[in-house]
Amino acid sequence: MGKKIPSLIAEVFSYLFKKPATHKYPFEKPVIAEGFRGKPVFLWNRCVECGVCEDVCPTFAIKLKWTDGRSVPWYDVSRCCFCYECIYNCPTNAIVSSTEFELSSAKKSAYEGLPKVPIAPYVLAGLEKIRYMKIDYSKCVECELCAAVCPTHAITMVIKDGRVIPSYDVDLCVFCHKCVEICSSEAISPLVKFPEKVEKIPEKIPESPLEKAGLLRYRTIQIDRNICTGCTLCARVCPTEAITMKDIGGRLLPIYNINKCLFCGQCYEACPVDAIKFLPDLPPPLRRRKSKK
Amino acid sequence: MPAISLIVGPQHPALHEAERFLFKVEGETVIDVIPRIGYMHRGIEKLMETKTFIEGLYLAERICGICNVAHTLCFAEAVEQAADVEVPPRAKYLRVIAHELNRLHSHLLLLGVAAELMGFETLFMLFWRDRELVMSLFEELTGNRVISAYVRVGGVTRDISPALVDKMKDKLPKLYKRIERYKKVLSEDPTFTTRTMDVGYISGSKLLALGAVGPTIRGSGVKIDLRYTDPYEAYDEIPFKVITYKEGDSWARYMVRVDECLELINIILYALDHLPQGPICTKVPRTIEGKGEGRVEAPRGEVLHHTIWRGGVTPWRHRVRTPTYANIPGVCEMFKGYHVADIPVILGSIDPCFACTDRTTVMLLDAKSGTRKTMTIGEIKKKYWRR
Repeated sequence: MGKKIPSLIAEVFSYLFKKPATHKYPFEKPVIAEGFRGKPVFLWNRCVECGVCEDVCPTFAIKLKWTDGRSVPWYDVSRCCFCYECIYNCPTNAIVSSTEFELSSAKKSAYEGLPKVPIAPYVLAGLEKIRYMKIDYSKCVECELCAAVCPTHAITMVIKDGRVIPSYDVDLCVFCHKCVEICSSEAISPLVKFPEKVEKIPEKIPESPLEKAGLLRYRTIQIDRNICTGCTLCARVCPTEAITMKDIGGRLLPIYNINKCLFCGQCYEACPVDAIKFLPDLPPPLRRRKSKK
Repeated sequence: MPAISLIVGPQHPALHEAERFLFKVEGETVIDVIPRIGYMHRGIEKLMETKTFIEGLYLAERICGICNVAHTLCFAEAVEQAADVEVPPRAKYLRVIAHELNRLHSHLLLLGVAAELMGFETLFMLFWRDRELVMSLFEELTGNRVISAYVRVGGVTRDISPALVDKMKDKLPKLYKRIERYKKVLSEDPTFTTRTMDVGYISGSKLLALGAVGPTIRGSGVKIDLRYTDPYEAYDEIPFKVITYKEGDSWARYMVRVDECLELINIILYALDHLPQGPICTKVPRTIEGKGEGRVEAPRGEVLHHTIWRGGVTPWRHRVRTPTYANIPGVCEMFKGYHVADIPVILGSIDPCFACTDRTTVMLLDAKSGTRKTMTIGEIKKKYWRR
């Protein structure tokens, strides 16, 4: 025991004259951090009854129940794990956070149920419930904003008849109106009545408004294989690997994938022999069928 | 003298978790150990096959409460690899900060418990008081003291506020000075050193053959750290030292953790200084097709999540390997030749977490011929399922 003992004694004595590190909890309220995840609070006047919170809840604490003409979320605190996944996913911000943490109760009935049956926001506004989103394809400018903003992937972009258009799936839609708000050309409008014929994309697609106005979007790249020297510069500059090089019959030739292409034009600038052309129309298999006149 | 079998457990062999060890004892000396794991089996891997990745993340978090950030990070990395999603750079740095804070609180917890195992209760109180500081910082960053729910598939849930950055930069250097002081106490105080020095010695090559991971193997001089050998998230951009000790005894394994506490405070301060701007989360597709593998250095060692998705909303198979499972063959070698009174100290030195150890693994070893048998599910049903 020849080793030196470091003096913890000084620290021990210094604590005789300090306040204790513990709180006297029920009498003295603790300081709660700003971002503490407490009991989630439901704001009924914002709820559009979409059911996303029920879908994402990992512990089945939220269930939509039919109450006085509305299917509103019933929230069970005793099942909740306070992960806040419902708050992050709610499309209308109807669920907000709180720092309430004193949740113990002697009765289980105190954990579940609603304080008062709320009135729906669309009833207050004198409207009926939205059942369908109508997309007017003659107005759509193919900006792909609606597909990016959709929380449930109900709107996805597909290629049909030479246009890149949104396809709409009613089964996945939650009627959060984000697409209606973001659409710059006002092509999407909510419908109160459910249509007779439901289809993801209509059979006949009208002409694009951009083409009517004489504006053209570049839709494809044509690579002239007779001029191409196989230098691989275009494949190297391509940011999305839309152009890849392949050995065909002893020659190294570029292969073009239209689904990955951004039309950034870097391959056009890089090509030393001008073998790359930008064309306004889609390649023949994806081109629109011309109507007989 | 004939050997006596001594049963320790299943109630609380060292830390407060259920596991049984059967020691063959000659007098006071341990000559052989037979571990029996599987008391905390919860069927998480099978349950994971019924969950989407949003729900599965919170199930993965509950595999281990103390290293929950490591498990969510590992799950998210595996799913992101399967879905081919790239995480934004700011989210990578925020993940590193939460991961290192989690490691800091886990190491301080173990060092406090180790001091308590040896009857050094003053040090236990001091360690746990300083852990409270880390917990309050962690609460402000993630929203909860232990179960963080911070990492999401595709990024993180919330951004760090400038006020919290200032608070961390103010408080963590103070904690650094205190841990430096505890390092001096642990390396000089006879209450600690006489219980741990030259107790539970094992060589690095033997541990390597037994497949040990984390601070256990780093205490024997083997430089294995996934943050250094296979960098994930932002660890390839952050400079840091890998802590190794050559002694190979229980004292070295505790000191690796103390030095790591000091090193990871430097990592957090570097990450706070070099936090890039940008978004904190990306959108992940609903259905995934592909395979993914996540490897993360948890406080106790390497965690592995392997996931296979076949185009549905739920995984087809999800496999988890946790660090304590890899360390158990190593710790059984450490017991041999030491006294019964050293058992809690040696077991505490690998930082066991038995709740996350117990997975569905069926291994049958024929002791006489030494061959390994595999059982089909039909044979298991026939043999063990009685209605």
